[in-house]
Amino acid sequence: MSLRVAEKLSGRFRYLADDAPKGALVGLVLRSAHPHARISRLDTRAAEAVPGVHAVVTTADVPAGFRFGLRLKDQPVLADGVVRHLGEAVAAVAAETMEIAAAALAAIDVDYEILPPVTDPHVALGKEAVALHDGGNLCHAFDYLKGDVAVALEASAHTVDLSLDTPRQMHVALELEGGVAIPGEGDLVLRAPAHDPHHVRHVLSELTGLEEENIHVVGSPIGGSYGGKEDLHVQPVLALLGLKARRPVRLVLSRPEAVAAGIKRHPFSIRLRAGCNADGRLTALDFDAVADTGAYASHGPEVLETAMECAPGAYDWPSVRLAGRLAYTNNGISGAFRGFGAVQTQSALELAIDALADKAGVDRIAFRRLNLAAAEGPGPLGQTMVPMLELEPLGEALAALPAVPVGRPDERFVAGTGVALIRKGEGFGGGGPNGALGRLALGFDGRIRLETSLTEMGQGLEAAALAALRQAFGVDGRDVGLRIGETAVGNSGPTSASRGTQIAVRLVRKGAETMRQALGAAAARKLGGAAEDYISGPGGMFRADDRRNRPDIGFAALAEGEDIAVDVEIEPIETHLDGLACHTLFTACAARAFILVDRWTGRITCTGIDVLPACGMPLVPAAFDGQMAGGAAQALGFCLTEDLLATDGSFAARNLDGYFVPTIADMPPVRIHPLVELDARDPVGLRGAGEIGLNAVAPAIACAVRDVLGIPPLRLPVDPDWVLDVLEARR
Amino acid sequence: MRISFTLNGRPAALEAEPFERLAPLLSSNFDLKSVRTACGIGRCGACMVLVDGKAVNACLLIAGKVEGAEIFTAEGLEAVAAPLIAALEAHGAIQCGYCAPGLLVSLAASLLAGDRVRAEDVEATLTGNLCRCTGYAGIRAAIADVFG
Ligand code: FES
Ligand code: FES
Repeated sequence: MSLRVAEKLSGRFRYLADDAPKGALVGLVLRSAHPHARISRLDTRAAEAVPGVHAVVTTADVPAGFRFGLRLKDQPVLADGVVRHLGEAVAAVAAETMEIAAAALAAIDVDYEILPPVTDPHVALGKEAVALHDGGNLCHAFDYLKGDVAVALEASAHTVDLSLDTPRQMHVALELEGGVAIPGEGDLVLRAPAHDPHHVRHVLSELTGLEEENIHVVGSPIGGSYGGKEDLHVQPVLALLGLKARRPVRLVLSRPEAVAAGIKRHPFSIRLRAGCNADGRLTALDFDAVADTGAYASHGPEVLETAMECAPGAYDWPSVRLAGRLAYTNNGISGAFRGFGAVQTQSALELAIDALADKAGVDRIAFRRLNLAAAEGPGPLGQTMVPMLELEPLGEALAALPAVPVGRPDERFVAGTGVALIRKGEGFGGGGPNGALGRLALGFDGRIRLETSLTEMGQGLEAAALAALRQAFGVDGRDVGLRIGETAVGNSGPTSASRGTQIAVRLVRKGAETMRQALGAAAARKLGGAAEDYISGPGGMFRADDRRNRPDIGFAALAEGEDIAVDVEIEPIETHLDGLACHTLFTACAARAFILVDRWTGRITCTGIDVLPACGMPLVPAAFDGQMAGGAAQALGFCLTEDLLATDGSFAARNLDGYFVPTIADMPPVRIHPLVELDARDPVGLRGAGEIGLNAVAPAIACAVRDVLGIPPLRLPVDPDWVLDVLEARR
Repeated sequence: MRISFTLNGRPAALEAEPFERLAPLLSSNFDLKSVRTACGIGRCGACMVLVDGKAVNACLLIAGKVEGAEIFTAEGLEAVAAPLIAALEAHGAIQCGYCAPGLLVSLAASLLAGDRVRAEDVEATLTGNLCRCTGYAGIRAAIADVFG
């Protein structure tokens, strides 16, 4: 649930690229039609000469060797001699009209020397492969070893071997990547959807040479992201165009540009071997994953780390070997996507858990409960962690879910059920930007407001923060306000990794006591008495001992001539473990999915989903439920319909035809059963809801497919032809 | 050519080639931001407008076809669609909101079609309105309230 629903429905609500100053130029980007090529000539003189063109930019306008990225800075703003993926930006223009901009793009002269694309991540990591970057094609590696896996597997009563390939899922936010650059005298305003306005500003400062304080980035609101707008998208090119043209520029991608050049979910290729004893106790897990990050790292290294940390699941393994490899290829760019690498490995692991349970002859939920990791830790990589007592209650709740009639099993349709129980790290692994700055202030409008650079993308951060403010000060909706999503306020870190809403609420709670004192002190200054004599309430401050219906002083009057504000800082909880990135704080979730498989067509319909998130007490229940249902829909797409297939570095779809985002007709009822009790010692007291539902529902659907077919799917989304083959072979 | 029609209840006209697509013309000539081209090929529903009572993808509709037509965009439907808006709000049916105007137009078409429309039929009319955020759960609940 979000605020301003009526405005959004009626089209009065404005997104960041909707409006541009009068006289703003139109930006357009020239993109490579080749996935891998050397640029042997790039001549923009004819384009510059087109009347109405105010700027043409190429890599010549970028500081030599400039690259951006999160941890690994490897991405050029505009192709620097080589293009490494289809749709890579080569040049950009700013012109008075769209027609002129298009004519200018057509007038840019580029010669490409086409190079063979590297498209198979396994091949990319081989010795013979052409290196796409100076350091070779291994973008990142992750290894972890505990015990002797080979010996333990040998000694196991039951073992399973499993492989799973997962899709290049596309985010398909309806709002396309776009924004507006407004250059001034020695400064720049940049409005474009972003998860971390301060990070965007930092990169733009390095790119343009402007001091950070002379750049103002606005990143909120966002018309859908799911991680797709987490990395910089149009901001660097927009900044270059605006500064060169010395005019405001508006640039919005078309859907075909976004499909070709936008961030996608990392396809994973997983092979695992797992074992258990005769009594159903897990013995060993041997887990290999190769992920395709495409041309640039983006969030790939963090995605791989989260994937591998989540590979052992919520279970206790006496011995574990994890090996993850992230390969550069010429298959677009993969980066952050809700579920963040974990959904891939969790799907494979939960399939293996079901296979072992069946071999051991133990009920699948009972098998999970038997093998749950200890509540007190250590974590999946042996790290210390915040205790999570919610795993066992989740297992119990999963077992206690009422049976649901599975629809219409008959000669044509066959029904199946799958369950999953998972946990995922929240916030960033060791050393990530987990801390946050924020501020509580009383404005002259009489509103107590939270100031934070966290952004709203529909997840309900605004609604939750306002609810937290109302609670903390005992006031009404008209007494609270927000200033969010821009660099004019303190750096609260990225709105990602399910942390945004949780951090916003914690900022309010952490600063509340000091702010209440500051409000009391101001009331005492104005009305006499001591700070303790006053408490906040609807409309203003009340004398604590003599509570009337009306405040003794209204908030607006209180604010007059005063500067009532409190800076708040949340310190990160750090984990350091021999250089391995890992989490301290985990969120758990279980799910159950029902499917029907059509014997005639091989098509799979999902007929019901239960989600059991353990996130503490939701502040805004409708917003919380919305996160679960939305995540379930993306999980369904991941398992059953969505994949942007690539051949020789080119995608099979150019737009939304040929790529199937679930519609209302594809979605079954989603029942949400939140577990609201967290451990009393829990230092955080609530968990983010953004990802965890997706992480649990996808493996549950995958397990339901195995339930029907008897063998685990080899790839997601499940191919109806494969289903038909399996059904045929079984007859 | 000059094309005349009524737009949100008022006479309107624009200069366009007859084969030009309506969606960008409406959003740029009349500053109607609700008409959003998010795919341009009729797959997402973000560009929906009501043409003579029917919900239509304005990204596919050519300008020459709307001469004399009665067109409503989401901006012009706020009053008639008030019960829908209230129900969608009550159920937390909207997240980022980018799909919302297109959704409202599709739903308004059902609302204006009269009282015979059943909730299942309304849902069936929404398969052309993609919403990537919500999983449609709140939208369904709102439909059940208004049409159930
Ligand atoms: S823009 Fe018209 S249907 Fe997508
Ligand atoms: S609310 Fe974001 S697309 Fe529907």
